[in-house]
Amino acid sequence: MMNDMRGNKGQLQTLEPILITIFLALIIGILLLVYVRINSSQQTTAVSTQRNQEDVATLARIATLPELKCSNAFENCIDEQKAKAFSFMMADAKSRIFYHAFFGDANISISAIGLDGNNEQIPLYYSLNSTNVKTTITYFTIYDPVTNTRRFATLMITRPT
Amino acid sequence: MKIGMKAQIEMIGLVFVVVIIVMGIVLYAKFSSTAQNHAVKQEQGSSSFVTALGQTTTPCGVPVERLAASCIENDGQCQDACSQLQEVFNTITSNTLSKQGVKYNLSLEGKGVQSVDNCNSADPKVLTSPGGMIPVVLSNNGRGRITLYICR
Repeated sequence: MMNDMRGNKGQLQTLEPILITIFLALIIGILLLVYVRINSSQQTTAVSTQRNQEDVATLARIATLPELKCSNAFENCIDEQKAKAFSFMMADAKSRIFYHAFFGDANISISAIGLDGNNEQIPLYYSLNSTNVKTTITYFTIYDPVTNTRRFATLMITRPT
Repeated sequence: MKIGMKAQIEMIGLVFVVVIIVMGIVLYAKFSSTAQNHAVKQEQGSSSFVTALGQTTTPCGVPVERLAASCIENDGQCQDACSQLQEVFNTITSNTLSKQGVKYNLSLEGKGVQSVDNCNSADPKVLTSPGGMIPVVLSNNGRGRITLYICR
């Protein structure tokens, strides 16, 4: 009886360092896992932020393109007639190839909000086939030189994620 | 023997607590940086939104900025200027921010003209950024302002 108890105690004492080692290994494993997860998540966020900034910069550059910008001194303005002509021109594959260097793989469109309820979509550029996409939006006014009025408009760029 | 075992258990408990605290700090740092990026993006959006809104031509034939000034001064340049401005706010926000699922508070300060969707601009806890603002220049050199707040 006495011998059995001593044997059990001895076994426990032998197991102690093993249990502690396993416990420490588990903790280190969990820490490494958390570190790797956070690191990869931060990289994804950094790439996403950079892409978003690029998209915002592209949208801002669009309004400075002579093919699209308003001929008067208005800021944040796209000429409606020029935008429609540009959209018509993009139906030609050669034009899309020419502008691919500037826009890359993306779909870009203007959605003009009419205060009378008539909204209008103008697809500016399209060269995107991917289904996993992300859309960035900025706001502009679209100027109609015929009526000398400016409508509120959203400019959307859709890119693969 | 018992004292030695107790000390070991206490040490393990201490290590466990330290690990939990470190994990908490790391997770907090990660989420706070993500929230900051989101706020910067929202602020850019708010700014371009109100800038474009201010330049939009209203049914009265003047830009929103001028219509807002007419609403504040009640100068009669546009009939029912405040009602027209309210209509413009509602039409534009319902076609843009509402469709994007954004919670917002767009208002002409001091005149009660506002378009709101689940966003209390007086509660700083729910605001993601200072938002966008454009000044409304009045004929007496006074100033009003149109502001847009975006909420979480």
